[in-house]
Amino acid sequence: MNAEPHAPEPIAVVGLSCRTAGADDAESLWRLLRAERRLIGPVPEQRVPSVDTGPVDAGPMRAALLDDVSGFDAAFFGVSRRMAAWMDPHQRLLLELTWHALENAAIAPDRLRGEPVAVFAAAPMADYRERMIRADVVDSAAFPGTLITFTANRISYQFDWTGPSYAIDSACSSGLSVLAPAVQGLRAGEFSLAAVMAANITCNGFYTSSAYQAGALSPTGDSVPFSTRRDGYVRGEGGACLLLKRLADARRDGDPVHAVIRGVGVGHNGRAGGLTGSDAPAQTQLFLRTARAAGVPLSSVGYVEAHGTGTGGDLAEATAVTEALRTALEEPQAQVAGPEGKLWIGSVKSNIGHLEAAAGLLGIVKAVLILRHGLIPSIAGLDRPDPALSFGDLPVALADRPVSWPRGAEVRRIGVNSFGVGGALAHAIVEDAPEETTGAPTWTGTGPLAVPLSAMNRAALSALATDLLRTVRGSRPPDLAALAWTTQTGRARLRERRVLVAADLTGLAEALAAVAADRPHGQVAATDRRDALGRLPTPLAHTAGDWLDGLPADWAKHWPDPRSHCPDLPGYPFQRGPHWFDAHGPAARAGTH
Amino acid sequence: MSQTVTADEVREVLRTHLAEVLYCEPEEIGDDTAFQDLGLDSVLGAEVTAVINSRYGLEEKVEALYQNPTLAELAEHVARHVGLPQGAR
Repeated sequence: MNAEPHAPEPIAVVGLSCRTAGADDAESLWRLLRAERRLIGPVPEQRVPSVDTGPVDAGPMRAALLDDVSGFDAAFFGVSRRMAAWMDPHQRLLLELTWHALENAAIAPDRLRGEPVAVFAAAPMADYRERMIRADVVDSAAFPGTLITFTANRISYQFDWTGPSYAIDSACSSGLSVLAPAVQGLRAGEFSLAAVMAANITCNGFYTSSAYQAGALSPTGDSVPFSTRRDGYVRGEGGACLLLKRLADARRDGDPVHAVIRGVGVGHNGRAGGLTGSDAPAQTQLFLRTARAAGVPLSSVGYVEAHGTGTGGDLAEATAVTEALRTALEEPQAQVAGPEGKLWIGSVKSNIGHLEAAAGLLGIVKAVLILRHGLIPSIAGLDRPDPALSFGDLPVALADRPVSWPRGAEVRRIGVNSFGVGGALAHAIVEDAPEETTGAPTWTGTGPLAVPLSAMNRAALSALATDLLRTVRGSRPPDLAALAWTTQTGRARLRERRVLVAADLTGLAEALAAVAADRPHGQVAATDRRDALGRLPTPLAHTAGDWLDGLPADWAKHWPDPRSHCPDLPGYPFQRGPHWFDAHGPAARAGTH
Repeated sequence: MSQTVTADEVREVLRTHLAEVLYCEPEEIGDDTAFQDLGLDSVLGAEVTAVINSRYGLEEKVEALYQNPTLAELAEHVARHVGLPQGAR
């Protein structure tokens, strides 16, 4: 069933990036979902110090942590080591995720300087600041470093964006709440590009202790949503960034469209459900309201990525989904749209933990991956569904196994749900990107192509070439023309520059291997070694030379319309060093550490 | 105040201060490296300005760092103003 005529402007996801335990990007997240990996493990004491579970009988803390939250490529972002040390790691992670989302959208950041790009960031926990307070240290750099507003404002400053910029807090629904002003502002024409983002990093025990003592966290650390092993939630670290545009603009501009956001609804339980609980009828009403406002029948949603945190909220949420479907099926001709004639429910929480403020955006990333790969992954570790769950006589099912859901004649729709501890609800409806109408890549020129590569230094350039080489030699190698177009027009031009000249992927692989090894090669041009450019058609060689020299380089004039982007290239390999305020506190200065 | 200093002296003093403020080594601060590339932002810039004012008896504002955006230029600027009567600055 398609959208009704009054449907509001669909919003395209043109770029995305994410990081979770076990995954540095969306495709590695997909691999771990497919493998039903569970990244939940023990937490070292120095990582989350002073956890006090109070009267709650809990085992040692377990969580799905990132490998390294102190690492940051400060020089890349022009941030001093001083500022990096006192800067909340949420800001640092979001700087990297925003950069990778821009690359994923094939947008060269320079093109957006001074533009009214909007930034909406989920307000994160204040663990880093609390850690400073515990250590009784303070620094002027902690002023921008730890104020929550800089979660969004640091991004706007870094990229020189002038659109709205603020942090949004609705606790664990923040990751979907950030979508609301983005979608509204895009539809109202207030801005043409929005970056929505959220991150969650755990580095102090205060919040964890309070959540244990309030009974929110799993005492076993082995909770599985919707199962009999459901005893509270397990914390997870990571984040995501999405770049959003009006769908019509994205198609006009030839942007990659990963998926479409049809609608976002936000609300609150009111008094129902108690101060910190969740309420089924309030969620049912929100699902129906969101679909109605989006102009799509709720019965057309075939899968719900639930908040599904492994708490008591799971039951209310499953009831809410079931009752919403019951109402939706009362419409004439309404049919259940999911695979096998069912509405499926899943949750990513038993794979990567609950990302709290970032959970909703990871839900959107998972929805995009399901649409891309045509498969609903199973809920990891779901061996025994909770018998208290009841879907009545309705065709609702837990994803207790992988379920095939290929793209078909009907648009596939996914509901992504979340609720916060304060009762704030948020729901989004995501659907298939329109069929590609731009067609295959259209390089009609003759002779080899130019693939420009750049990085901040030789080490990063070598790492970038190594990553690209892996992609080129991988099981799904990119189209050379699309890759060339993307590297020419969709990447920043950084200090260390090379132009690789290649007639086919084999030639590109040889040139990449040379750059990876930092050795000269006949197919690789550098500022001081330009012979390779002679193999290119003369006009293209001129443009490539200008690019090497840092002059304005108009690559687009060599390409006929339409062009094809290549969104699945590896992101910039940040050269991270450790940055942590502990290394600079009074103890460190006195040499007593 | 009647003291005078050379730009060379000021440059070496400021290089040390800047390195302390930015948590880096003095050798990393080139004479002509843009402060912006060193990550000298408005917060840390205010700190550098305060150090300059207290050491050289000046009343510079943080804007002086934007108008003299490298170590060489800033050192020249400071050396020129040290010891001048208030009104002549």
